[in-house]
Amino acid sequence: MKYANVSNSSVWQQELSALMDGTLDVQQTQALLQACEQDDTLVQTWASYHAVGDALRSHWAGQTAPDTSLMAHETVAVPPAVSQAPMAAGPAAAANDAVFRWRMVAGVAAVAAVGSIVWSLFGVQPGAAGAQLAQLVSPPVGPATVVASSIEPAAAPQVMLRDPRLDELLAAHKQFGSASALQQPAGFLRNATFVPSSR
Amino acid sequence: MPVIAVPKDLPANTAQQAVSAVSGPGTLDADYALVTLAQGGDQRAYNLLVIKYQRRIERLIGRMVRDVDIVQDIAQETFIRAWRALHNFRGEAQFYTWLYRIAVNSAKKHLMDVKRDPVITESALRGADGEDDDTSYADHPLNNRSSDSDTPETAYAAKEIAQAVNAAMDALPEELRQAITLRELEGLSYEEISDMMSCPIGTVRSRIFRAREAISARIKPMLQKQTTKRW
Repeated sequence: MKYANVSNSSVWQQELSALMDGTLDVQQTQALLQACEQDDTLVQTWASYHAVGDALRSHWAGQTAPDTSLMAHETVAVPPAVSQAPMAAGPAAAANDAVFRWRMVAGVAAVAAVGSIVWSLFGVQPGAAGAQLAQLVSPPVGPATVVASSIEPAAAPQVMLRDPRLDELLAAHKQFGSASALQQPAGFLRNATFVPSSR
Repeated sequence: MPVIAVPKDLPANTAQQAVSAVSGPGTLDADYALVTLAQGGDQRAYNLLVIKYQRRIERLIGRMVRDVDIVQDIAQETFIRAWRALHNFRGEAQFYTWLYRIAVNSAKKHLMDVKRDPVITESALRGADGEDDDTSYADHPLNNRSSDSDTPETAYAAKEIAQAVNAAMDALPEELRQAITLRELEGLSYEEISDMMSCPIGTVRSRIFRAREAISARIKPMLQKQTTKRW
């Protein structure tokens, strides 16, 4: 039994080291205290071991103790890359998510409106539009009358076919002749004037 | 110090609690065995506790009082009050936490007495401002930096001892330096160090002891000169 050999100071010093670390039970501690009673150098060793620990921790605290103010400054200075990751990965909705969605809808509607206007201006040829209007009006249904145009010179008379029913219509509604509904010259409207006696 | 008296008999359940507290991996207080013996009247055990915590308590009081001549008196009063009240310590907190509160109360009591004294010093009063009963980082046991109340002599001694300890650490074999670092700085248990270093617990215990012994051999002459000084 090692506790019987009180003169073996190295063993007791090792017991002191173990007691420092809290690994001795009460009985072992009692035996160690008896040894300390007989050997004063063990008490000095106990003080020396604690001085070593204090000096080590003091050196550690002085060298690497974190500066909280510096840490806070670095935290503010560095972009919060870590905090962005959960936002990208998670399905969390932003507070203005609904507003953004309506902005998308409004944007699509605006693009569609502009597209339709562009399509109406440049997508259809002017000549084709004129042809469509001519087709709506020009097909002769009944016997046509050939009249000479008053604008063209007599040497090259132009022939215009007029439907008699159109003449009847214009005669009945003179108030609609020679002017458009806009009360101004409009190239896209075809004007017609009834002249009964010149034929 | 007090007269050494070996306690006659300890309660069986108390001893068993101490054994389980110091032998298991979840050891909460390394002082449990010494405190248990001291509660049983063993003044030798309390003497070791005083030696262990004397410097920390003096540093703590020195930050509050900032009067070098009075610090040791208040520290002595603290240990005497703790000895008298030791039967009230139930082990709910660590022994040093309990001792810390007694020291703070003793220092505050001294400052209150000083306030009634016409010879009060401004520095002594300022020392009490901002102090709290809670353990802050400045009063943490690991923080052993010198306080404002240190004299140039103690500051020099502390620097000298720190240099000697660092030199001794550098001279240690790698396995000893690693073992003492994991224990003293990281606070790991023997079992945790055993796992990290892949060696038996007995080897860990031997390595830590040898490291302490090697470093202690270098600073013992300095300690003999500074037996009553703080660092």
